[in-house]
Amino acid sequence: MPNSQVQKNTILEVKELNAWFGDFHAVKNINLKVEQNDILALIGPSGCGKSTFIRTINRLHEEVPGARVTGEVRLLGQDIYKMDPVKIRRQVGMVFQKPNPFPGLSIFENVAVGLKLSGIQRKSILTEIVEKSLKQAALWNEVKDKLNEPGTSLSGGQQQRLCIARALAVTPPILLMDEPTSALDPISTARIEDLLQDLKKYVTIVIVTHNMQQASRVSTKTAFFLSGELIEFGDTSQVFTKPNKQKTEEYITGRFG
Amino acid sequence: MNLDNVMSVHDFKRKVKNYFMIGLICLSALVAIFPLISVFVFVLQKGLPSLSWDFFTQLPAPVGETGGGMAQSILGSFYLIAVASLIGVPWGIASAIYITEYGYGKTVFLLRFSNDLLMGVPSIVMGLFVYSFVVAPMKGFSWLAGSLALGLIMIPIVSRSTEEILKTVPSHIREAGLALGIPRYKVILHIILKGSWGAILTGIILSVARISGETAPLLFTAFNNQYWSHSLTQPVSSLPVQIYTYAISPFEEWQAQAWSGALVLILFIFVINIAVRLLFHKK
Repeated sequence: MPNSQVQKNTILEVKELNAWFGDFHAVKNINLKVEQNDILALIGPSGCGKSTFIRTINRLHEEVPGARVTGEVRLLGQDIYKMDPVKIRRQVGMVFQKPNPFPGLSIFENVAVGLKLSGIQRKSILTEIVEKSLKQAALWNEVKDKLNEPGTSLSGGQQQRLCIARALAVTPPILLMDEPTSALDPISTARIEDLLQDLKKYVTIVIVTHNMQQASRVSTKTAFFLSGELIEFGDTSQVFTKPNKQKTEEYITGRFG
Repeated sequence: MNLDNVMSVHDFKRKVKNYFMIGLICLSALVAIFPLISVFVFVLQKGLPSLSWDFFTQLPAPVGETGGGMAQSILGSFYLIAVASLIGVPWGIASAIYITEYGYGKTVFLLRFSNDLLMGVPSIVMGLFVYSFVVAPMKGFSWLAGSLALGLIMIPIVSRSTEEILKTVPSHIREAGLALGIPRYKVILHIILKGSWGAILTGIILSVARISGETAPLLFTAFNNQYWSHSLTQPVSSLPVQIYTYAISPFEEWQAQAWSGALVLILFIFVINIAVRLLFHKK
């Protein structure tokens, strides 16, 4: 947003969040706030808890047997761990590392499925939302003449944009992206990075990335994770130019990780 | 020069060995398909002469009269398979869904293990089981009892094949469904099953092919019937049992018909297998 100094609303607030897989303490005592229309990039070496962290925000973490969470995650003020996970997930979209359109469903159905299975059956409404979501995901022009073809028939980059459209169709205020471009070629990656700049008009984004250039290009806020801890959190320009912590500097300059 | 000679002798030996092994492998492949081809040719020779339109449309003729057919057995087989599928398919799929989607740890191990055991139970034992728990209390052989025995045989087959297919659906597909705020049971029904329906259907049809030739479990459950029967509580004829009855009879006419029955049964199973492969294995 151009006038970023204007008072923004906090959309996501995380307090003393811890997550475990069995005995393994994967995420340790995280506190952070995300404001509306921010793009928060989570960076850090493999296994540092970034993915686990975002999976606590839509309560997917607990779907793994033996997984456990303590602490608070507030989405628009509501404590999500006191709510029905199904309802939470309708408000938190997610895009995965590998493009994963639902096999056996057409392009149209892939985008409509979230609405359809939560009870919206009116064809006219579905058509309208599918078109809108595909446009937001910058895929409409490429697929508008073949909406009935299988979603899996698209190229990798198109599939990932289809997955973004699928997540946007249920109009979540926040979108989680778990290394959304790590399985894509450079051109598809660039398209998705461009897309993020448009998307932040409608939705707040939390993106996990291994690619530091990507983090510095696309995000407004950056959080650096190491061994499950949040080492540094701040404006992207500050984290990348004058980090407060030595570990952060070592990581972003490529001394480890 | 010298080295070249050494190499070529070595090469020659290697090539001979290679051809010898390829020959052996081809031979074993032939040995494997030889029984299939010979059975088919033999049954074709024996069964084709007395195969006629009457065979498919007429009831058996009384002893001493020529003609007649196995119409009631063909229809009976369809009846038995249809109701058996109603029992075996949902049960098998439900068990596979539990194993892959809900259960974990020891429960899954136990379920899978009992499925394997169930698959290893001789089909005649399944017949005996149904005999003592259904036929005896109901005081009579019946279509229902026969289908129950066949259905029990289907459960582990359908369960195992469905499980194998559900296991190939990557977990991030399930997570993508859940992440859209879709309840787990809807993710399973509308996304996981929908995406793998073709493959699951293949498993179901192959299990139908498997039970359509079962004889032993029907001998004391559905028994046999020389007439049309359309009642779940009455004995019903089936191709395998009719073949068995005719094959051990002293009458040449009947024995010839048993061969025709065998041919029809084999063709049915062939057609099912080939159709399934054509329909679902193209991609």
